[in-house]
Amino acid sequence: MLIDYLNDRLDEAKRRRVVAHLASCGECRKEAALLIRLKNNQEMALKEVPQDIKLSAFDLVPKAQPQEKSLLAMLNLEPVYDSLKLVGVTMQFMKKMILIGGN
Amino acid sequence: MKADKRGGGLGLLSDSHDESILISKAAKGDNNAFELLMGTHLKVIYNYICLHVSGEEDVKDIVQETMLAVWSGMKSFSGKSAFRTWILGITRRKISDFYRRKYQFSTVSIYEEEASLTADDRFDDSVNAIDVKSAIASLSSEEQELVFLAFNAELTYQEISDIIQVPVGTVKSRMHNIKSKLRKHLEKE
Repeated sequence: MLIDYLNDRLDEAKRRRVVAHLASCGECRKEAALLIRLKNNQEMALKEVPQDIKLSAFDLVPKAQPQEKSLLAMLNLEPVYDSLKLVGVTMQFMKKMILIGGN
Repeated sequence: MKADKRGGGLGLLSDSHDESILISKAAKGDNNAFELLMGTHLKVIYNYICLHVSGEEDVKDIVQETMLAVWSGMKSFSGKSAFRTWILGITRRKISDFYRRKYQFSTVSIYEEEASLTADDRFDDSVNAIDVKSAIASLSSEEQELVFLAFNAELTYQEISDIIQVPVGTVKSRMHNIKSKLRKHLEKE
């Protein structure tokens, strides 16, 4: 329970119980002091992850597949579609201009 | 889904909510979410492997194999245990696989192999609390693993029992012995 308290793994009710107990129990305070020393030591003893391991850690993990190609892309028709879209936009613009001119 | 709420000095995500979101995205195949999620656990995974394995290249291989195994198993993570407990269980199996490959058909345990390592091989950093360090170095490999899981991985006794596959009562009694040993050692200093 004391370790869980130090690791902040207790819910609020249990945490309060531990705190209240520590206030009245010298033995547990001594134990908590020992555990705090251990925990501090362990945290300091943790080695930093070397850069090459950081960079290579996910090398075996398959990368996400690119999104499925559209039918246009599969048939290599995207340039044709783009040209038709451009013609459509131009036609609409010309229609607008004619309507404006007519008014 | 039970997610970790720990922060500490391990650069973990700010709260369990963030981790749950990343877990859910990673389970759906989002690589970026997976790398972000596992990046926060990399330090503890790396140090856990270093506790058992000394060669740099071997450690690197086991890290990669662990990441692949976690990635492959993301969809099956049920959330019954905390995420960190789950990934450390996978890491431990990958360490065992490494030793099985190394000594094919042999039943050498990870502890027998590492008995030849000195504590300095495993922790060659500059630790100021030399007395505590030497007290921990005096523990057996199994005991050091328990200390690591309790203090670095910040697992509960139940979670430790899930990983090392011994009853929770055994974990408690071993931790009790460890504390007595350390107390005696430190009192001598």
